Amino acid sequence: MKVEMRVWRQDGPDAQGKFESYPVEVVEAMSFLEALDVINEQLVEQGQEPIVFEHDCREGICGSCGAMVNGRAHGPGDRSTLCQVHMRQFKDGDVIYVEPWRAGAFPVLKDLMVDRSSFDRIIQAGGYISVRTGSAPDGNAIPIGKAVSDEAMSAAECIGCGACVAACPNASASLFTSAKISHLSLLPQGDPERSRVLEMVKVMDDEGFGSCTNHGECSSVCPKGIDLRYIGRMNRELLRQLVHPSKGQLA
Amino acid sequence: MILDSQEPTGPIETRWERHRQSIRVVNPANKRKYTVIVVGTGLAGASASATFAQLGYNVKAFSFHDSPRRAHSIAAQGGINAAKNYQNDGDSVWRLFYDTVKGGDYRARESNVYRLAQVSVDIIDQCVAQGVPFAREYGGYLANRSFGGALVSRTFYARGQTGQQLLLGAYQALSEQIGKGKVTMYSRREMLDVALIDGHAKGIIVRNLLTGAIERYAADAVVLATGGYGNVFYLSTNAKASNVTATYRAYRRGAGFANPCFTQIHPTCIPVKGDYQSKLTLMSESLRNDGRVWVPKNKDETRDPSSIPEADRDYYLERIYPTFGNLVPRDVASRAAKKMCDAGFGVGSSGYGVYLDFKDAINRLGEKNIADKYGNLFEMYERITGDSPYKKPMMIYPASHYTMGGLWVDYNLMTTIPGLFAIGEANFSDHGANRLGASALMQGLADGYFVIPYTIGHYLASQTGGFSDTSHASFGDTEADVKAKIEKMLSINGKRTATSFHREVGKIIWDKCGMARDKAGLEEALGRIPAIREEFWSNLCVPGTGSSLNQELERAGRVSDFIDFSEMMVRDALTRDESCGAHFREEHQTPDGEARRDDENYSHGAVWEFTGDGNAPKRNIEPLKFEYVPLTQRSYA
Amino acid sequence: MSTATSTVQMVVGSTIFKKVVMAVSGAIMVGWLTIHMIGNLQVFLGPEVLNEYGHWIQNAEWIWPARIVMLAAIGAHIWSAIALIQLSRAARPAAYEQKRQTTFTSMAAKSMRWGGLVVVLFLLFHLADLTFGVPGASAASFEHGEVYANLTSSLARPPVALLYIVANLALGMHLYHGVWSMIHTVGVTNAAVQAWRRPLATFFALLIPGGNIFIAVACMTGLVHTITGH
Repeated sequence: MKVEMRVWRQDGPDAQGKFESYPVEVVEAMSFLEALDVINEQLVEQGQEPIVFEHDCREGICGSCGAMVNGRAHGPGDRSTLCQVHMRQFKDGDVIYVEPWRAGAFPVLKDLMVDRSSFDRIIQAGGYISVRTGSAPDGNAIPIGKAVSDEAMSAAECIGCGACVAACPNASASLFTSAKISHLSLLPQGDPERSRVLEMVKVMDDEGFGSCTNHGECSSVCPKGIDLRYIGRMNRELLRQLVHPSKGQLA
Repeated sequence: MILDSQEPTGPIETRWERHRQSIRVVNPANKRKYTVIVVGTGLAGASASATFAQLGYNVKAFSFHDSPRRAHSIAAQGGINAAKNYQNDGDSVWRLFYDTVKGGDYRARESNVYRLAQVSVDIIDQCVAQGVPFAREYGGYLANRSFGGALVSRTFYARGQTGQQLLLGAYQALSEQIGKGKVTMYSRREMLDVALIDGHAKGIIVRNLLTGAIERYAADAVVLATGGYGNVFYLSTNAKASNVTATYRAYRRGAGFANPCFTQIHPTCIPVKGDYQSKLTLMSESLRNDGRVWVPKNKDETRDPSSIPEADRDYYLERIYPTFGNLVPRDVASRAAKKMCDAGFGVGSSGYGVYLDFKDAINRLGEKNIADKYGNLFEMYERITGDSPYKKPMMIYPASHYTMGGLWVDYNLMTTIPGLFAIGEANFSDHGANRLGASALMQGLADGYFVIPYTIGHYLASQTGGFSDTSHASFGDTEADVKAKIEKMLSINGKRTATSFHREVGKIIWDKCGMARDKAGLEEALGRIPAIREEFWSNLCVPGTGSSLNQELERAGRVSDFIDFSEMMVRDALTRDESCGAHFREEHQTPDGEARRDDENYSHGAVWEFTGDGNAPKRNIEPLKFEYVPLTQRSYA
Repeated sequence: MSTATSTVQMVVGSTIFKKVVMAVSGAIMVGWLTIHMIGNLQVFLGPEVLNEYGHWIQNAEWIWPARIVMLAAIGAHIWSAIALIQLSRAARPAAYEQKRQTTFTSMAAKSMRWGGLVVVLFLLFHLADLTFGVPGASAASFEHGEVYANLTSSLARPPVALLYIVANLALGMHLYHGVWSMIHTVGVTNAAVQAWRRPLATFFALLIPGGNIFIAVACMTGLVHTITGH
């Protein structure tokens, strides 16, 4: 089958971008990124610069890939990353728009590639449990209820792709930030440093992400289905600091 | 080339402890005078960087990704082994050590493997403390499962994303140190060479992938944690960017490369569908617990698989290996599939696939039971292929997914270049000729958290520290080499893409140096690779410039190294005239098709030494002694 | 990490706190609106009861504190809305070229800004009409203290009744998302409450506008007079 890809091409962060049209012959079993590969190989053979896009594992776990496809983060289909989209989800003759994530905190670097280092800085601000290598007690020394552990795991599944920000009407990073805060704060190991929420939220704000207005778009496009309830938990963690500072601090 | 393993002697149980007492230590106040470069921030690199920084060293960490969290360690599904014996089923450090040496078919260094088993227990503690949400039982204690045919349940897991959770644990530990300014993180930098001063590794040359700038970084030691070379086959379950460049360029500077032909092929992957295929996806091995593997008896079968009657199906694993049936080890299952397909019985559009059928299991246990066990895998399969395994048998075929070979390292994880270390999949040390399931994550973290933080001190204590002179002539020369190579690739202006060369060389390696190898095939491959290299350097097309973001240029550089590397890999497979573990030479097999070792002549690590472009590399050996695990022949019939 | 003082600063300075201000002020208004609606239902008990009720409120000791709280809530709600709108605009300086598809959000959520504006404008009219008796807004017969007469005659004018109905529909939409959202924003993670979040929001979204619209319809059609006999 034949489709027409209209892909956003932009030379650099400050350059003017525009959609370029690439008609391409594809087969249904092809993944979306493989269709882009086909276009790119043809472009290179013609001596033209290929479309820049990020990708790596191509099995939905590394979080590298991502673009708006026909206005939807990671394209059609629930709970999938762009690399998990296949051409059978389109039909012959379709015109497919491919556009980078857009957010002030995710500047476009080139074509479909954006800079998501703001996410790293949020984690660096407190998205960890400080434990010196070698000082850990036995793994079974701290029993953790299965329900709590499972809830922490569901939050920890975030792959940091940025689709939540891309799909949010406010370009908010609340889902991403709240997933890490929830993961760590639910666990007893993370309890002494619960004030992490202060620093992480501050960096999230400073990076220029918007605020959450509970549209739920983030969660619905999240490849891992990270639930909105974690945003509630983040807010709770923040307010909790007013009345009940972390054990790690003296009140 | 001198291959001094620095292995301690005496009782194996206390070797690591005694070694730690005997090696030099940098005093705490002096640690801040030393800088360590860590290239790669996957499990091994991130854990090492974080731990170095905690100890007080200055760390410069490099990743070609935008973030350390993207490293391919993230894709490991199954789990991580540790000899905790939480299940009270008789596991012990000794048993894990024994299983690993035997599983590796006696081609690993006993001392290293024993140490790996010893520190495995600390890894779990460390990760739990970091908040890794391992699966737990209702009582709140850690859950385990058995994995890859092990007789004990020693595998810890976090749903189907153990690698992800462990990597995020290490990434967070690293992020803490970056946030505190103790690690300087250089992301989107690709290491292109090592700078040696008086024979010691004192820095690296990298390309800034965003600006194209070639940058120099100096340090007192360099640690490579750059993963494996599974993408030499072009198609593999490795991430697209995984490559051999860092380790291969270190090899060109004098680091010995050990056992490159030891590559593991995983039997249950989704088959190739067409030429456009960019990578392969692994389906958990656990599927073979309930699925039955078969091919049609008739080569010209055209019927839908569900409508092929029992009489016309060949359940070949059950037929050839009646005792183990569908649960034979990875390499045996892989070779059997290849054999059936080579003989023309394969299914699917390419003819390179076999059925994995759950019909009997569904009839026996009910669809709900099967969905509980494999639901997420079935969903993943359907997402990729569009077929539901509940209705139609799955199609599977083996694919490359891990490489046991790597840079040769001694007991301190130092390569043959002083000051240059290799950890994780990038080194060759612990898995011998075949890796056990759930042991890759274990080794990466063992090296990063618990081995190199001690052993690097032994080297650093011998150095003055504070080396920072990137204006040294050696940096200039090395940088000139790097730049010349880039310029050359950009100036060819030919007709072919880097990927097309990668596909071509990958196909040869897959066909001739994949699951099964023989002398004729290997010699043929050796004959064909130089022509590909020649065409690469005369007909490559890389649009754009070197002074900006250029993904095609990145790709071309990696492919050029894969081409060169593949030649060494084939040479290694050819000269290792025995079968062992994943290295299966058709000429050397038992009557029931098992790998037949030749311990008399090949009980050693083969370590390749670069002797200049155009010259055949030199094969050195590190003899292996087996003092604790008696050499026996594997059998699964 | 942070000391106790800076904890307060960090919490108060966060965007999340602005959301909490919005949620809390919203909750105050929901409470007020509920009481207001129930109080107004006394219109069906006749002029004596309603006028008495109005008189009682006017002269209650708490009326000024209550008004101040209400004004503060309205002010805080609008302030946080404007602040958050500005943040959101700044967070996506370059808009999508292709319209972003929505996959989960509701009409109600998308209309929060416009719906809120409609409610504010309506509120101004409503105050002019029934509190201040501004000529043009109020019915010609407006007289301070005559709550029943003012209300029924104002709403007897079909365009005004229609305005009340439309504004209350907008309010319903606003509450449908707002109540659902506020519980989330203030960090209630209790699973039972979570499960009741949507039903509760729907309840308020129907209850308040439902009562108000019933009054408006009853006044417009004269039904109110039939019921009260006045």
